[in-house]
Amino acid sequence: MSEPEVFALIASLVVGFIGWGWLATRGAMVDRRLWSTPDGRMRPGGGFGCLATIFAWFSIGAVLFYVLLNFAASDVKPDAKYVVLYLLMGYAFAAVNTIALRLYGWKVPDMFERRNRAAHTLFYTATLASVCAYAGANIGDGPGFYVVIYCAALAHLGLYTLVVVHAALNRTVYRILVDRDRGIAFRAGCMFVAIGAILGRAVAGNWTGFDAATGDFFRLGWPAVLFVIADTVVARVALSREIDGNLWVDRFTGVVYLLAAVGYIFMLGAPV
Amino acid sequence: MLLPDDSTSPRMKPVTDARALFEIWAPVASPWSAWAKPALFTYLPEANSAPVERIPWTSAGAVPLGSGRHAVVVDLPSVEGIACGLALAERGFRPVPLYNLTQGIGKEVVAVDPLIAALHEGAESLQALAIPDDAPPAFLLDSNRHVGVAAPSMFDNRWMVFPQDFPSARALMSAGIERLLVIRREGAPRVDLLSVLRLWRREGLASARFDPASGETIDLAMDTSLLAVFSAHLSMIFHGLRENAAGGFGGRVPVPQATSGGFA
Repeated sequence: MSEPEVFALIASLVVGFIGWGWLATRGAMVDRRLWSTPDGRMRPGGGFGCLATIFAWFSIGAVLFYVLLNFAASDVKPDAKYVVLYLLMGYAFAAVNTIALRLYGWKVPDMFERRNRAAHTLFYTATLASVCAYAGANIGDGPGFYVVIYCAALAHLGLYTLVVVHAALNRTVYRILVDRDRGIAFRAGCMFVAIGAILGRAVAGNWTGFDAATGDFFRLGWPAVLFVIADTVVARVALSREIDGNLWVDRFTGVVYLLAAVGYIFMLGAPV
Repeated sequence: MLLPDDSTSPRMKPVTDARALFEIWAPVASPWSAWAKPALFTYLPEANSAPVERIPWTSAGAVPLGSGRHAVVVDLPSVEGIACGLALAERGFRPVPLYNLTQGIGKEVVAVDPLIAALHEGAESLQALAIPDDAPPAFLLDSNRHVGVAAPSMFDNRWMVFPQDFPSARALMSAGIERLLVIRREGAPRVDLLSVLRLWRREGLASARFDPASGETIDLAMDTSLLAVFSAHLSMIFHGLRENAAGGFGGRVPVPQATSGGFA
């Protein structure tokens, strides 16, 4: 490994370790200190602080391992050192994503202290969206790790922009964080995963230059905007006065978003 | 209006476990307990601390609860909020403590001990009351939550509330709540509580303020425009307070380095 790669490895390790370690520790501390009952049981909704983080942590590993071992550059797949490097970079991106979720209004206390299940759903799905965006950046051959960082940053920038636009256009954030509506959280979360997957696909492929990568990102990634528009319409049409009033409609819509994204990615075919 | 009289309430076993104390103030059966903040309940008063005097809560006039179902937000200073909450419990409300501050090393900006002692002291009275599970909520806040200056080496435990700390207007209205009353003495509610009330108003839940000093009730008028909501949202993100990693607010203010750091 070259010096810059070693630096990237250490930086990713530090960011990932601090980010995810802090999240797991905080979850465990809050659970132990605040939510256990006198007889040692957890109060309803408690006890997921640490587990939530560990679950997300393993999910990230599973997705990234699969992509790195099957679709990464030809010199990365057989080399454990590089697989570890790109895996750790993925954890670092997902850790930063947890901070960026604040743009949407979500905060760590919503999950651990307030025990909001809808906030849990949003966290898992947003993490998955980030992993999809990062995984796409690892697909194809390229000259070095910096092109992966560039493509992943581009995909995440697109993801965050659409997340902020979605928050501005809708009252979904309020419905998730204050109403604790699990159906809406699932629907919005599926939309984020769909956007992450499309933007990940938009930055996937063999590296031919910064201009080409940026051009491909806009050329192939624009349908992600349609999901924000569609969800804005759905949020107005399927508005319910009740909390979880449209639980199954929202779940169904979320699955439709995912299927639409998968259909689009299959339609594009394998990245070149 | 006074706290329940000791002579008429059955004697309860003293609560010696912090988590058991939380169970009394936030029983699992009450739907509003999901919003109660456990941060203060992780402490118990020192065994050798002086017993706290029962604080009677009085107001110039009866709290105007009228007909129909009300939810109450008690925004009174320090232990007065707890005393008021207990008085409301006598009238069939479920007090929901939202005190979200912690203790730590250094002088505290917001005094915690009186609140802990009052919650401990009030637990017996609360346990003696048979509050129905579907009782309307009375959310308890400390109006001094943002008062004070945090100097270096102090423990800055000033805190605030967010819309997520309360049930939504939709949740309140589906429980039959028709109106909201804020019990507060010193002028208009703080910006954090105001943003909660504003969101409730936008959802169709009107609120009024009752001043226990004068006995007056005033309808709260507020700007519900998108600009007001957005600016309040920004102030929620950049609040500048210290969140505690184990829950609640509170953190030590670092002492600046005494050395210049230049060449000797």
